[in-house]
Amino acid sequence: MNMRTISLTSLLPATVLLCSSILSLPAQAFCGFYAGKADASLFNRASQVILARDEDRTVITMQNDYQGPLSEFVLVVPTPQAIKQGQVKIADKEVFARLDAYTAPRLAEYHEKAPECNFSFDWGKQFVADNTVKVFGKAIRRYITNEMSMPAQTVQRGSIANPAAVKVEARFTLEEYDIVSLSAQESSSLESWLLQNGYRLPPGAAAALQPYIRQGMKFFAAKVNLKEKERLGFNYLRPLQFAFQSPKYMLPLRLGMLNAQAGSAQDLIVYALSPHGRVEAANYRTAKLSTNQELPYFIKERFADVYKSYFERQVKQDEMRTVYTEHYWRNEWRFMCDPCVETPPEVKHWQQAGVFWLNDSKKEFAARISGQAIVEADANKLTPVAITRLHLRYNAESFPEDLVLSETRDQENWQVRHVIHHPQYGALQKCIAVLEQKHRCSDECEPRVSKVIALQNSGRASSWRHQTAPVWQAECERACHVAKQDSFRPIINYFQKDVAQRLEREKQTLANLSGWSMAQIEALPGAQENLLHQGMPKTGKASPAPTQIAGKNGR
Amino acid sequence: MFAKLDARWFQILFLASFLTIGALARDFALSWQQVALCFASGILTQTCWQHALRLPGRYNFGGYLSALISCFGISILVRADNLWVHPLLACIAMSSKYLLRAGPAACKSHILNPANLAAFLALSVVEGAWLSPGQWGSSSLLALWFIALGGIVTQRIARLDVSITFLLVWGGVLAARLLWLGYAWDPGAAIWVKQFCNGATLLFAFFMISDPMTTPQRRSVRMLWVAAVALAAYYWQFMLFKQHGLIVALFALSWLVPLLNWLWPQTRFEWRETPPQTSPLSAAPATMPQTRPA
Repeated sequence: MNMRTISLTSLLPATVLLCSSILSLPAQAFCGFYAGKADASLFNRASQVILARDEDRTVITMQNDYQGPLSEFVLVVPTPQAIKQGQVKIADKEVFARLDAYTAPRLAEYHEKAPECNFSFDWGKQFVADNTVKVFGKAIRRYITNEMSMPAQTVQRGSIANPAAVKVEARFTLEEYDIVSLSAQESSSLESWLLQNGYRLPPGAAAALQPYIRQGMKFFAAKVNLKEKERLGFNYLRPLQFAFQSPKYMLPLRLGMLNAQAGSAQDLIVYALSPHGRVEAANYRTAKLSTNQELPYFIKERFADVYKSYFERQVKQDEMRTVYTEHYWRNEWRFMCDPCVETPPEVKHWQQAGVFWLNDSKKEFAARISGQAIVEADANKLTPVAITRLHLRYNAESFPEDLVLSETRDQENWQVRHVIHHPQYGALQKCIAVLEQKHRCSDECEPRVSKVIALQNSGRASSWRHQTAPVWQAECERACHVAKQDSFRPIINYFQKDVAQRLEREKQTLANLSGWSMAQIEALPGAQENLLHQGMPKTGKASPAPTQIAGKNGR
Repeated sequence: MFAKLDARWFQILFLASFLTIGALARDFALSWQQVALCFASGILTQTCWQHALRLPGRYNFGGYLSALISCFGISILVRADNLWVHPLLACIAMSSKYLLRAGPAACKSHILNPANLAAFLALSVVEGAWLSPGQWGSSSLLALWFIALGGIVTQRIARLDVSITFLLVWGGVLAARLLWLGYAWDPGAAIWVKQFCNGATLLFAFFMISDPMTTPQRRSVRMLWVAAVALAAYYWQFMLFKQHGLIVALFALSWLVPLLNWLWPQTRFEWRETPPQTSPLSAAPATMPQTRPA
């Protein structure tokens, strides 16, 4: 029972601009970089189809997910027109990979900057300038009584019939495929014909074929020519692509369901290519998925799992009755993405995917649809390609009707794109190292003390308590250490307040999105990492240990 | 007390609830700015016309009810990727009531249902606008609400015959098609329910084609006309394989209504039967009573 109907894939071209201003980006002024994706391989039993359509002309490419003996592989697709030799070709599997990668739900990552490590130490300056003990005394008192109060860290974890009634419209071998185009008057005749000609069919095939026959549709049937296949040496089934002209813009899902076990669901990813706007289902609800959520940085390697959990939850919530838009991008000659997942498709890929309205491919289409000349005048006009990626999970009950598609005039680029922000790991350690190297307290104080002593000795500072140089030196160094702690404070605040709070928010967002519990999230690798201490040099006695810094601040 | 209320109040109430359901539960691709601009533009346009033509309803709240209804309809039906489409369509739709008028003197009225015109323009000519007929999904509960609430409204405005005729003809041709195609009960029945009990179809049946001002006045003619709309929509959608059959068919056949009213005249519809009043929907400057009873 290996009849497969409808599986799909392929596509098109272009150059890429990494950063697009069209998307509403978070406050960061810089571009994100691609960090992860949730591609089609994630979903089992996922068929992929590329539908390139302009007006009533369609090129459909199908990528089979068939896994079984090749001798049993059968593909039967209802088509509005009888597909003749020349209207079919073998497409490159690579095209599906390109389109999948280009449109997959993605994760963008941003690298944050911690607050500056500004060492501001002015011991002795007021002295010299103001020449008053009062100021000096106050300054000292401020240093000594200074409590670097840290805000409390809030942690919320969040029949027998006459086969003669079937007309063979075309029969040919195309590389590894034996192809027939059939038209029939009765489904039982069609079924008999297929069975007699070695096409194994699942039970119920005749009943499922009948509505297509009545609609005047033809049948494209293919099976593997084992001899040719051996000669060609491919160890997988290459996608089939065919072109036809019809006002019908639909995908015959129903026939494929005959293979499925009762109640079991299948995934279908449709790449709809059009010159104008976003494509949506006309007879099912089309919804956009959640996008632009800020997630914790530590899910970077697990983004595919996050997306899968989310998608499954969403499908369940919508009772498997919705078509989801995962990506819509309009490519005005420049193929843009933000962030780009791998290399975007090039013109040749779009053409391989069946796009025929790109300049030189128009003539090819005309040749494939014999007798349907394409107006030369508009062949010179460059038209953009818009790609819509639709994802649906369906079974026989939830999608009783074939999918009818409709091209809208929506031109607003949209994608499933989530964001992670990496804190600036090791910012504190870096700051400590800089201060220790460039601002040793003893070195900072020596010249200052010398100046103070000089003032003292000049007799112009008679109102001061006169001290000895070692006493001034000790006082200065104490102030210097306090000043250093002041310079750490914004960084510690950044990690313990800003980053910690944001991380809690992001964990909550992740919980809402994936349906994972807070405990599961906390158990993920990296979730418990102490960012403040990350990147801390293991040795180096000159630097205070980060724990000490935090401790002192809390004192 | 309810009996005295203008039926349009119920219409507004139900349309508002559908808009809310759509926006909240069906996540319509609609922004509050689009809705706000749509209403602002629709009401402003209505105000300008009322004052420019010195219509008696211009100082009454009742004079603006139909504008609200049209704006709800536009918000529920039309989708756009920008902010100007909704207000533009609201303005054109409201203006069309004063500019496109025809029919015999006894029942001269606007030709097109404003929301129908807006939806037609959105699907055919306006850049960046489109309709999403699948937007309601296929929740049977929602369908029941449509039928129940829509039934109340249309019954109050004495146009339940339109809704019922339409649903019978439309449901009938859909079922006939599925039978002819040879579908077994499963999945045939499920397909029929999906096509028929669909938010877009029910909204059309109870809130658009049932507009008393843009349907023929004589009952027998009206029922035939409604059946013609359903059949034309079927032809468009299932024989030409194009989308939005209902909107297109109503738009196309609305132009016949003045002719049908002229051929088979009948007293015109008034939103409130007693005492005789005017309404902006029926506001024909040439035939308006000069004063509006309190």
